[in-house]
Amino acid sequence: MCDPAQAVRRFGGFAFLVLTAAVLGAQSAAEFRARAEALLPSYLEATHRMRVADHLRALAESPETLQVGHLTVLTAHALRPVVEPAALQAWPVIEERFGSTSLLLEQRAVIVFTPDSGKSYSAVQAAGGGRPVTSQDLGSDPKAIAAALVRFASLNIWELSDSALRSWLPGALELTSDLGQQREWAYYNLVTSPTTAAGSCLIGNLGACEEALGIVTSGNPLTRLYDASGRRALVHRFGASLNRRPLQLLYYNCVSENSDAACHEILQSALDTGFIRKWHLEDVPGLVGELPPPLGSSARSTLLAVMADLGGRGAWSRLVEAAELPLERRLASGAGVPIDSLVSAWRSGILRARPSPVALPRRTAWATLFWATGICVLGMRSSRWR
Amino acid sequence: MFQVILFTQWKWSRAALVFPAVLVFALPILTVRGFGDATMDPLTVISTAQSWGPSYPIMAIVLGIIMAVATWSSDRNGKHTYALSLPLPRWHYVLLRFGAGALLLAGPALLLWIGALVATSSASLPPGLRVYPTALALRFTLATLIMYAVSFALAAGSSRVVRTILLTLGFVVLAQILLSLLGSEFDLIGPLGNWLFDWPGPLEILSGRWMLIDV
Repeated sequence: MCDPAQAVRRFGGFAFLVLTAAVLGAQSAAEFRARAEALLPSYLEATHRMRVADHLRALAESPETLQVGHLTVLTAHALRPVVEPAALQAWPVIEERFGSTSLLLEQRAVIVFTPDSGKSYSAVQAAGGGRPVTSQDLGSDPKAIAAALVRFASLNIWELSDSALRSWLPGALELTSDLGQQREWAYYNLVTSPTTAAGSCLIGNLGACEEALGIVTSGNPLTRLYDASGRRALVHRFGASLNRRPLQLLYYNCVSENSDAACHEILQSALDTGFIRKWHLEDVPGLVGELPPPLGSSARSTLLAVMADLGGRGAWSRLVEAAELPLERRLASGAGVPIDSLVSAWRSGILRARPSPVALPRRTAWATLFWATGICVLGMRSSRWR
Repeated sequence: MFQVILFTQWKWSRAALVFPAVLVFALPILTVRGFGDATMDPLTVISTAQSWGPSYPIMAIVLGIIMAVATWSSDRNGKHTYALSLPLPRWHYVLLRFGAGALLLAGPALLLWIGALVATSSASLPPGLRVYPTALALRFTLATLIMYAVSFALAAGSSRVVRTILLTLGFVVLAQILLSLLGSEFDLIGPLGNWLFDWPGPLEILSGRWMLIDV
């Protein structure tokens, strides 16, 4: 007679095998690859955290706390001779840039440690409140360590600022990295944005620049920021996510039949049902409503850099302390000039950062031919045979 | 005479040129791989095009050096017997060799142009972006030519000249390292690099923007 428990086990085992085979069979190689790739960041993050934990344990054996101004640096005793001069170099820069706002740094310490090789230093921000640990390879040059301390200070101050500022620029504030590169990306952003605001900003409309930068917002961004071709470009850009039921017919009418009404309806519908947020915009900083911002984080970071340049020492303090004011007035207050002047200075900087043309300049072509001919003549005069 | 030199040079260099030439043809196609629709973020497209940018001057350098080495290797191996047996003055022979090599380099440059045209015609780009297949091919042609000329002149020169040039460069690098170790901020390599890579320097063509796609 058949044992019921054994029968259940056998059936269960069989069902497990069938289900496993079905699940595995349902996945293509591309899906497997996508899943493996999705796991990679978690693996790297976990590895990184393990390394950091090891270093912190090692550091705890001979800790050293350096307090320079409001900057607190935790390091190992052996590293003090290198880290202390770096902190002394970094602090005046931080104080000069952030003024009294640098007081916020007392809430966050920076840990500087050396990895196994002992030849370069890494910095790790003190982890608190479940925030992710970040680190940066600093090399062994005190100047590089000082620059990294300034960078960490910028990141910390921005993270500790009020929610209105952070929702305007949710990404990391990068003020110490290459501003020229950021301006170049902002230029690209300006000239490729499908919004009318960015296009008008490019030709000199400062009000449009303010809209494109998200400084002023009013009305429905779908009609305010985009014209018919922009809306179609936006639908096209969202492509596969919108080309599905129940939006499929609208998508076809918008993209293939050039119907602006369909484009408008599909975008509005997608916004209402959360499609755009769900499929595209969860990680996009600085949303205008739920649409991608005309100008993204590079442009906004460069605007803050211009504000800091114009406003001098007290710029950040004025920006942070005026938390109750609208963003427009806060930025103007930080820069110490009217908002139009600030935006105008920003726009000039962006246009100056326009990359050199790809087309080959005539003078370069002639110079190259001249040099090639000259070098060939030198080769002809060589005396190898003689 | 030029046809004979051209033919012998083709025979000597074709094996070495085939692979780089195929690679050069493939580069633009690899650059636009994945640009199948206009739904991509323009900044991603530019970033991808930028990341492929350095491959073009590198290939120009490689091709120029390969051709120059291939041009002179047979003469060097045969101790210049073939050249000396010709009823030509040396300058004329060198000119023929240079011209033949330069003409043969037109092949890979043409392949790059065709590859770029094929690639850009198949790619669908977001609004606001433009393609530059001809500008890129022209830049590549001139970069290959100048690298060929430099390598050709070095290969054509006597061992003493080559040694002197290499020693001078080595001395500059060594001196810079020593100065850095002594804490000096005196920059030797920077001005030299500026002279070479800024207008009207001989290698300025290499330092330009190698973009197949841009605004």
